[in-house]
Amino acid sequence: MIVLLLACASPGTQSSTTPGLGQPTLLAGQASLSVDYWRKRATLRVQTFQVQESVLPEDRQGVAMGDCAKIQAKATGEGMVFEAKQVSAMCPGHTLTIEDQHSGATSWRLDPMPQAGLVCTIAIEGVSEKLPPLPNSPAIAQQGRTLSWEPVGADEVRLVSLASQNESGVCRLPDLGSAKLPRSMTRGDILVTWHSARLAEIQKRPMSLSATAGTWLVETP
Amino acid sequence: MGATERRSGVSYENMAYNILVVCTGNICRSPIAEVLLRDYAQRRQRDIQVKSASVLGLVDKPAHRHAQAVAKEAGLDLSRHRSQPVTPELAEWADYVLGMEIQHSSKLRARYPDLEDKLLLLGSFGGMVEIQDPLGSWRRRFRITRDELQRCTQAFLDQLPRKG
Repeated sequence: MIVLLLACASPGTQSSTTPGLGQPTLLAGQASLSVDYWRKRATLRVQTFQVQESVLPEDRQGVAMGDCAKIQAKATGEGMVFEAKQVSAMCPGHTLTIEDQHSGATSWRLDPMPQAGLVCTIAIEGVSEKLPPLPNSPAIAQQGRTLSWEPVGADEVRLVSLASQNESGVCRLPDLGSAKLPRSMTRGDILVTWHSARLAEIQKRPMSLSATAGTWLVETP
Repeated sequence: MGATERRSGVSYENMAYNILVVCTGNICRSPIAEVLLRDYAQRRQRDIQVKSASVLGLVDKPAHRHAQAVAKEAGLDLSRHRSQPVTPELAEWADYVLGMEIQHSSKLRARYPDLEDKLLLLGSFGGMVEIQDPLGSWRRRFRITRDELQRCTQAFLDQLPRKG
């Protein structure tokens, strides 16, 4: 049985994603704000790719909207060729501390924990773009396999759970306020996240900008 | 023994150390650490009182099923555990507060400035810094966490001076 633990103001994510986009998209880069209210971690990642053929491991992996699928776990950066660019980021009212920096990939930790509505701005080679506002992560009620919540106007809701040692189950749902848990997710903890995303063009190349907030539904005995 | 009982002029008040173990939800790491500490103290004939609590404020939630399972593997019972938040009373009660992550210490320090001298990172007793949250992982990860907690709680208790 899965029981909602954190209703009030809890969001969280464990990986940056590019929600709201259709099929796997060929991108030149990705910027994502991910907030995990369970783990109390907020991370902003900016990645720039050398070739547009890169298919993002952190993308939706081809999972269609309204559908669920198993995806293979991949190491961060696997399958991507990064291109070093000069990047910077700013989130009003927050201190950004670099957690990880490689050629073409930078992660900052935000402090304090962001609240819904935060708009971060990134700049790549001097060209700046705003990320979508951080969505709210509303309370979730669960009855049997049915989840319900107050819609927050996010582009989508996503459920993520471990499926096997090397696979995760991922569902992409519209933010309509209710959804039925797939049978494959009736056991184990589930990360529930709200996503907003858009595509921008930076230096004539498509870039995914996203903001994600969520939390965990914890399975209890 | 009453908290204020005195014998032969010696105060027996708080002769046992009061240890508060804290994690995010008080359903995975801190309940395991609590029973591990209690068990080890009993085997070492150390008189301590142990409680656990969450910084997230979860109330009355049972321990995670994987936490219960890996505790059971070690001969420990978490079936009756129920989560509780850190309260001013618990903060006051504790002689030591053992956190799992730096953020736990930061949050508690901000909320209870008087805790400063009581706050310790449990992982530091086992050659680690933080003990990561196994939530969302397989039971195998919980088992690893249990072993980390065991190493750290034992080292903590071994270094705890005897009172009185």
